Amino acid sequence: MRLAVLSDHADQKLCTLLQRGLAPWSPDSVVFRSEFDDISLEVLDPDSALYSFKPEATYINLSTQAVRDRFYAAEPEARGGVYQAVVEDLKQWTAVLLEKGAKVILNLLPAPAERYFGSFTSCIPDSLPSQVRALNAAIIHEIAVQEGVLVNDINHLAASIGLRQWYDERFWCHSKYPCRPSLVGAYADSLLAVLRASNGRGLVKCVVTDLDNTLWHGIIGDDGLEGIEVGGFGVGEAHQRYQHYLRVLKQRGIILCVCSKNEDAAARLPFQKHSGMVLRESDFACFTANWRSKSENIRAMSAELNLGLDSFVFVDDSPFEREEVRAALPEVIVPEFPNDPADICVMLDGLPGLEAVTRPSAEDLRRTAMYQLEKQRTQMEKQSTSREDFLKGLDMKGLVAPVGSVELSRAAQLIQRSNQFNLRTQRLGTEQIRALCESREGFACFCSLRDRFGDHGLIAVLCGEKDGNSTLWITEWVMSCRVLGRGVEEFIRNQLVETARSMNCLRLCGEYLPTEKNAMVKGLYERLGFSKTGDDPARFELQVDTAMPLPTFIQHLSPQDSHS
Amino acid sequence: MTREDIRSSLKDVFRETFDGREIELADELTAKQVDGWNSVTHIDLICAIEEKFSFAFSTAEIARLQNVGELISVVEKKMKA
Repeated sequence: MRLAVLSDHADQKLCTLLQRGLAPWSPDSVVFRSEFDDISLEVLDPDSALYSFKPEATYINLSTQAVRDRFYAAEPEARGGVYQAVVEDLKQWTAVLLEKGAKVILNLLPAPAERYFGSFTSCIPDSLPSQVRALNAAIIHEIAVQEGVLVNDINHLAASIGLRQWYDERFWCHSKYPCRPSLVGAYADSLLAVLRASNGRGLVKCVVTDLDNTLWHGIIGDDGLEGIEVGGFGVGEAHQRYQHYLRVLKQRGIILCVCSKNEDAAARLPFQKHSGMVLRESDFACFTANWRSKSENIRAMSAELNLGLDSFVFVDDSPFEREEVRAALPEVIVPEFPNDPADICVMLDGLPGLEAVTRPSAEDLRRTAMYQLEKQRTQMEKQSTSREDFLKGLDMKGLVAPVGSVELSRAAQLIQRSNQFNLRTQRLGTEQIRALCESREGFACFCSLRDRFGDHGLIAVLCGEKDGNSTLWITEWVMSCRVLGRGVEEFIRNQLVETARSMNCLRLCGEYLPTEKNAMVKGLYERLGFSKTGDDPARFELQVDTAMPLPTFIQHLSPQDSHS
Repeated sequence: MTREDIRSSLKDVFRETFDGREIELADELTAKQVDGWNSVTHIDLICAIEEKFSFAFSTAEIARLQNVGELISVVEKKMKA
């Protein structure tokens, strides 16, 4: 990760902590700190040190105090327009940085400590608190709506700590610290969570929840339907709010699973009969109620859903169960359960893995349903006499087509989320994908797949560029693990050959760059008929003119058919 | 608390701030003479001293501290108040 930090205040300590915080997951990270206070100078000069650094992400780190300085420097009658001037700067800088292909991260600013007229201050548009609020609103509604722009919500951080704690103006006066020096660590952590998520690291993809005293108050097996509490007032409200929280996560594409030590019928009863329940059985991709160890059950879920254990969170009120899972499956995130169920949502809020960097997509909304369809396919596979028989019976139809504006966001999201089937782990963003689509020498394609059970949606992204030697380089290839073993790789390879031909290329070249997680695709290119090139063991090539299509059971759709 | 008591407590604070290094805190010692005593660690030091002795420096005091002797004098005055 190459991170540039452009601040309007002292940021040495912040940068040191960022450097240290990036190291565990990105050891060769470099943090660039601008030597100038003048962010404009750094961003607008194409020859500045910033651009020779070539940042992947640029953090524009404004402070409430610097906005305050601008506010007081303005003529009293011009103070109502201060936020607009800051917004204009941010818009200009953001546009330039996005153009250069860097992600941009902006602060949402904490409310200032001073309020001249008590509560009424907020009702006066040209007061400082109103200006800061208007600035935040403009960042959210006018700037962060662009792909590639993210926010670091320092406003929420400061508010949750408390403004009196947050500010220590002595250190602003002395050395331009935007907050109490001991809170710079929390400041850095907030940004690190955004950076980690934007690099697709440590994302939570599945929440496994216990039932008794977790999803509801009481023990269904002992207390019965009338004895448990969910909804209404008191503790039942707390558990119901946890269910609402989980439902929001599900709508964002996070898979929910039940893992309970119970008789299956008893465990399902509240979902069917209790009026206070928010979640239904159909909200869960796996519903496991048995007497086996929870680690065993979670391991089975991971295999069934094809999701890595390190993307699992396990929520359980029992210290015994939490310890059992931690000991057996150290990759699983097992947060401490709060002393009071009213705080379950606060506990989940604190998990950095829930940080999102893309807006919920249609794909996210359907994700649970897709896993459920997958179960039907697995069922069919078990009943089929042979693999070929199964694949034929699926009646698969596939499409490989250039990424258009409709697919852009989902394509970027798949690139962020894919760790296992990911050949080069380049984490291209929307701007880079768009640029490839528009270039004559490059391409960015997606592959979508459907079968008799339903639509898998967009399940692979491929990017490439043609070099001067009539070689088409595959610079990015990611695929969802949900469609492994269907012959999609072969199907894509055949389409790639067509793409290479249409771009007048003689060769297709691919590369495998190993990470901790992508061993699955180590032998992919050889399996698809590519051969090693020269002395680089990671590179493979295929002669386009002699390449015969590989057999698949996927029928190719034209883009027109796909919309029918 | 005598000046020497304060000096000895400050030595602990310096050791923690400067990664376990032992620094002799003579009155004349200034930041320039200590490797790693820069504007960032200076603030860290001030915060650690405030925590250790449970008082707050004033903004003017933070700016005025020129050497260890003055630091000890300020702490001495604060502890008496």
